[in-house]
Amino acid sequence: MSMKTFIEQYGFMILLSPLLGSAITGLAGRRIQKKYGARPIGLIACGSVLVSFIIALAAFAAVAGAREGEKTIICIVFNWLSVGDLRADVSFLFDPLSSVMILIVTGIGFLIHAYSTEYMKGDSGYYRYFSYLNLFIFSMLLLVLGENLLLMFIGWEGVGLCSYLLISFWFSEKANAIAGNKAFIVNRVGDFGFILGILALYSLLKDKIFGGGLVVPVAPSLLSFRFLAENVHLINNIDIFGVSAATVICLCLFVGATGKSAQIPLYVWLPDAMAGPTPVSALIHAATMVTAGIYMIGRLNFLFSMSGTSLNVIATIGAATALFAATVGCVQNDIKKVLAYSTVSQLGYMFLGMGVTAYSSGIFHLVTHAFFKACLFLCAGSIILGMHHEQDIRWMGGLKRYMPKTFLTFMIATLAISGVPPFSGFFSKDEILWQAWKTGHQGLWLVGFMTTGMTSFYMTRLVMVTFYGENRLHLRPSTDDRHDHDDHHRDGVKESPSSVTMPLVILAFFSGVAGFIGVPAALGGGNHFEHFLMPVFGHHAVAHHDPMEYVLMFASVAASLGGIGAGVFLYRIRPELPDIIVSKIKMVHRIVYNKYFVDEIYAFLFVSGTMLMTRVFASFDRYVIDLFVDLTAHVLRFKSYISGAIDRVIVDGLVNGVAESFLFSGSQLRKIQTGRIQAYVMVLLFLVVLGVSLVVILKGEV
Amino acid sequence: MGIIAIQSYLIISLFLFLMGIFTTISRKNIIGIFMGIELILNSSALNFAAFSRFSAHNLEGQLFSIFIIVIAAAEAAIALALMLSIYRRFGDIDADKLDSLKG
Repeated sequence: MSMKTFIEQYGFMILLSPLLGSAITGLAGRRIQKKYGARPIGLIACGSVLVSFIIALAAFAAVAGAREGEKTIICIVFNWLSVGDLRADVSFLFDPLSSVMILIVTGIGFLIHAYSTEYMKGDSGYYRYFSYLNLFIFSMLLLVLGENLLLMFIGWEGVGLCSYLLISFWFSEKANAIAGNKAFIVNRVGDFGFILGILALYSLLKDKIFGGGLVVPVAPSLLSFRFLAENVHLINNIDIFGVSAATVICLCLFVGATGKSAQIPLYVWLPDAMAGPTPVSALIHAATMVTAGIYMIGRLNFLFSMSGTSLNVIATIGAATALFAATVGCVQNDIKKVLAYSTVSQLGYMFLGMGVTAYSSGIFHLVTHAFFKACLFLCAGSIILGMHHEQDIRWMGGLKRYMPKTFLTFMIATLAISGVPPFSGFFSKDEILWQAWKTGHQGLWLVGFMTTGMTSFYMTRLVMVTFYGENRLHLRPSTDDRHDHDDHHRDGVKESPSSVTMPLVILAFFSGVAGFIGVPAALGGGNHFEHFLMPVFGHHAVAHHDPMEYVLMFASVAASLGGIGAGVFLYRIRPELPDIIVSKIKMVHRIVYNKYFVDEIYAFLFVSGTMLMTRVFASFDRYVIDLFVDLTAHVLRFKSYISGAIDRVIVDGLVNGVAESFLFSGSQLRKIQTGRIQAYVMVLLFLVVLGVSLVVILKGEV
Repeated sequence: MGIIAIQSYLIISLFLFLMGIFTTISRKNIIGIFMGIELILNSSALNFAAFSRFSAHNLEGQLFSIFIIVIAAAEAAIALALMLSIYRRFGDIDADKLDSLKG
């Protein structure tokens, strides 16, 4: 059996395996954990993802090995919906884009599963955690592999659900539960846009295809990506409210993407999502789920390419988010918050790439970002483990000595995200910036360029404050009543075990070298990555060598080195300077430190309004609807009282009356029954006399 | 035949009967009541004998009278035994106090 037929027939196994794992750990996990301990659960969870990873490798090999023009493998499982004109199959699409994505999802997913077995050790919700995590892998694979928009939407919602479940995993603390709610609700806003986009696309296409009275024997699967790619041009000349239909649909879909991928204005949930366990932040909120929006745009690139307006919106929002989040990241003190804002910022880069139609560059950055950001988050997890659940970098410092492996991997990932050549971030980020410049978005390039400097600045700050200098754990004010054992802490700071550091090393390795799959032609590379994705994204104009590319490259390397230099200078050489600067620009710092008060603005604009509305509705419910309900209840009660009274008085009265009359006549008659013989005899005599007299009188004789 | 007509017998019999009824009703003592009943019985026996004497030419009526006397004797034995057991049970043979038959 060739690899291709294997994927065609058994490709669905890649989804089934984590689903099964989730079912087992979710349904029987509690008993397994009680009986056999946590180990079998970890094995089941990791094993199921490993199976998926192996199939993903096979799929990748099958796609990569296929001839030009045949790089799409469809695995049809069954016909799902067939209602009139609506038809949808459960089928999975393996093509260059999705095969790259599933490698990332299952590969990094497996590493993070392995990492979690150590990180979550001793947690009573161990089985629950792995069940959610496996379910997440399943949903993400469904999102990526789903061959039509409906399946993708199911996966889209599924990952949102898993994200919610995992953010509020430690739900006994209210802040975590609120963070989970926030993520879910903000995502709902985005999902609403997404589903509107799907519906608009479907209805317009349906009108176009079936509107002409065309009768087809089997309704085509309208929302299938292959069908869309061929027929989406049909909606080219339709206007909705004076805007082209493609723009409306793309913007709706992009609203979904901003929700899932944490872009302005819906990014607010991601920093709060750090309430979840750190491996979850690495897998869901850095490497995979948040890239769903980018993947979706990549998958529907033919649609987005039809609408220049929406592409401009995407690029602008992406660039703005990149810069905005980077500024916030510069001043945060929670290590995970810094990384979260960094993620938002890097996702902004990806959207910038998508917006300037450099789809393969965006996906390239997605891949490299998945590696280095997962690595950074897992390092943060390792640090948090080593620091006994301290996340504030102000109380870290000097960890280089205690955690050498974590330090080294963190360093590599930092260099990668900062865009220092030859680490992976350099190639992907530079590609996006160059494409932005080349397509004439010089302003956006400038924003991206500034963000590069800031990125390397805040990452260097993180490294310097966390790993260099003296350990400051003992300086921590012990207001934190949960961990009040300051003294023995510093001795306790130690390197994490190998099941934690192993994934770090692997991810750091890929953060280092992943860039080489897409070395641009200008640097003598073949840009294999772009060639590989060409069946999906189509051909780019052949890049003629432009000296500007070298200039820009030099500029961005200079920016990132400058950022690193500034970071080292401010936080290593002159560590007193940051405080002085902060006191000089106190106002600005306060605004940035408080994330531009966006949360407060949203709270004022939307949350308070919603709360007011809920109160209004609640009082409407209480005073109006309840009034009617109560009124009805009263009427019913009155009616039933009446009918009860009728029953009691008339019906029962009749029955009782009959009984009473018998009782009464009995009691009266019993008086005659004196029990005295003589009385009876008297009566007898009287009656005899009466009878005889009657007979005599009637006969007229005496 | 005789100078005594049948009316004389019947009058005596009626007299006996009424005395028996009166005794039965008025007496408080059971023995008295019983005596009254005996009188009623005897009045009927007298009737039997008188009607037999004046209407038929055989002795059926007299025969019945003898039966009645015999039955009255047996009845008296039973009644006296009953009275004795009533007395044993209730300690009294006053008819007014014996109202166990009262409903």
